[in-house]
Amino acid sequence: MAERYGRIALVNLRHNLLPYLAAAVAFCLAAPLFMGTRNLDGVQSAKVIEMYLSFLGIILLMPVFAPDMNREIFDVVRSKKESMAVVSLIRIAQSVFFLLLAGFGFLFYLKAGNCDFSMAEGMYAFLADTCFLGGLGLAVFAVSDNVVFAYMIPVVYYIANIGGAKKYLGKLYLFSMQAGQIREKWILLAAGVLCIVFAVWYHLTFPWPVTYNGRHGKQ
Amino acid sequence: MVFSLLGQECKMWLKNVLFYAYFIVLVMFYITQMDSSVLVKPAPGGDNYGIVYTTDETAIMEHTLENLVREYGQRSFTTYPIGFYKEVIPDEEAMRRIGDIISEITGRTEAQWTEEEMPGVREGLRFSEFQEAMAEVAGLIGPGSSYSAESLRQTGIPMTYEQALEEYEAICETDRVTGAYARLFCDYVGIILGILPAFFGVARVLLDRRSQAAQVLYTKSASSAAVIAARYLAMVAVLFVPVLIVAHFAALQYIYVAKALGVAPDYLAYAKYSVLWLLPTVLFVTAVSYLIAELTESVLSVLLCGALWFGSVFMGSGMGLRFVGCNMIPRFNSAGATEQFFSMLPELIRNRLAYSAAAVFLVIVTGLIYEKKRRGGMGSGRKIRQNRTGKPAA
Repeated sequence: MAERYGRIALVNLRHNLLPYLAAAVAFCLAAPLFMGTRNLDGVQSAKVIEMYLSFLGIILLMPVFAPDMNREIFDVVRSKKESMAVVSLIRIAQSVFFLLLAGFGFLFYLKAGNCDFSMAEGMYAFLADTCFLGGLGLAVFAVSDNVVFAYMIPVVYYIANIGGAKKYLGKLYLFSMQAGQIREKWILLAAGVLCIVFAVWYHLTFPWPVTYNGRHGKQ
Repeated sequence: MVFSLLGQECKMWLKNVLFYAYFIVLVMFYITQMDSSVLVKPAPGGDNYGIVYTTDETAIMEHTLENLVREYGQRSFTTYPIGFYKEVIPDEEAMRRIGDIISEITGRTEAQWTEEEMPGVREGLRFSEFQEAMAEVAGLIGPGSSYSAESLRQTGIPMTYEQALEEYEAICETDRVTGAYARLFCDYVGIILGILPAFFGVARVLLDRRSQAAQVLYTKSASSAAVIAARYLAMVAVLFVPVLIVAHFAALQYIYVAKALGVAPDYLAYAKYSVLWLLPTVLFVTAVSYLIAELTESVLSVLLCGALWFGSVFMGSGMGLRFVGCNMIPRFNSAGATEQFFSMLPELIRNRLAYSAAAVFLVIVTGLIYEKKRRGGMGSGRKIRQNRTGKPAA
């Protein structure tokens, strides 16, 4: 069984995740070129984590359903012995694993550069923001079956956080660590996990989008 | 042919959820960003009239020198290359050169100016010489420092009543109220237009891929130039018409304000500023995303355009939000500062023309790539095109 799961993960890595992984690595490696990663105070460290690293959620979580965009592939995968739910969970686990790896790696790098922040808090903020942005995109993709629209919504949400929408977002504000309000992050994390669970459920229950006559298409 | 295809493309977009999502985001972004401050004539005796970027060369030189000496003493220079703080510690050679530059502009040795609390520039130092010296310092430190030409223009001092009154009069007379707020509109809306068109370029290519229409389209009689031009122009149209609609409603508010103040408003100010300022952004971002999507046939184009947007937005944020340079998203986050804006206008026009020209170039390249795909040079179009145009095998 473990071998079968390993094969699914390997196929996903090779045929789906690899370019996004490369993009995530390039994204992390590019950081020191544009911003300070040494001797940052608490607010500056939080700014890097929340405003820069949070993009990794969109880069690494969004490809989870990407192979299913091709309906022929989706039908083939669906016809296999292994349930689609297990396949989706393996893909999500892989993305979360690489997300954690990138997060830990980057935060260790910041710590090694004498940046002033708590590793646990930094990781918590990183996970909350990335899970929320990535989960939001996945949920939109599951419902709309439109990958571009699915990327658009978390990106717009991020921009709204930079701009003047802070007062409307309440506890779902992405950059609360910079204001020292790290405790609020559990709401973002919970909302992100809920979005991911909903996305998997919806994607597997209603694999095709709602058609114009209001009914779900081919199942 | 192009117009027929253009009509079909526009109809297609009007049925796409992306277009409506874009329209809603545009409206929401405008509503949440625009502040509702009212234009009032400044009264004498006020505590705070705001900040004005000074053109007083002596004040700029003194302020900048003070900053330079302090950072040199700390052997650490603060920069904001893309809006994020970055500490730069130059190597020994660069530090020595910066020390020499300070000695040149103060006219004193390092031992002398380090002892002084606030060393001043030497007598007779011309501003152009000072600018040259600071440009060299900026080159040694790297982008985003306080010594670049842009930063020197952003030396802020508290505004006096007379200056505040002068600014108010400039808003009423030169800008006729609507012009000043049209600039602010373009500044805000430009941020979101730096990324939203990217989704359209990718969506256009993925639509073909998903419906497996690309190979059918390759066999049609329409030329590649006509197909690409029609698709591109349709995207630009569906992206820019909503901007003009939002601009129209935004203008109504300030036309009313102008009339209430007894000023004849410029009814077309919002439209003129939108075309000059925002249309090139739409043209360029759409062209970049369409080109990358046509090359990769994937959503990676969104990520690359996202990186471009990120750099552009945060590059401007370290420059007091009044910055043009070579930035894709020029910033001028003020309804006033009329004189400063008009001094920056030639730079803005050059910037916008350059981005428009770059967009045209990118669309031509996209057309060439599309043609190559049709001829079977790359991607999935090989067999179909060969079947249509090639000689029978037997």
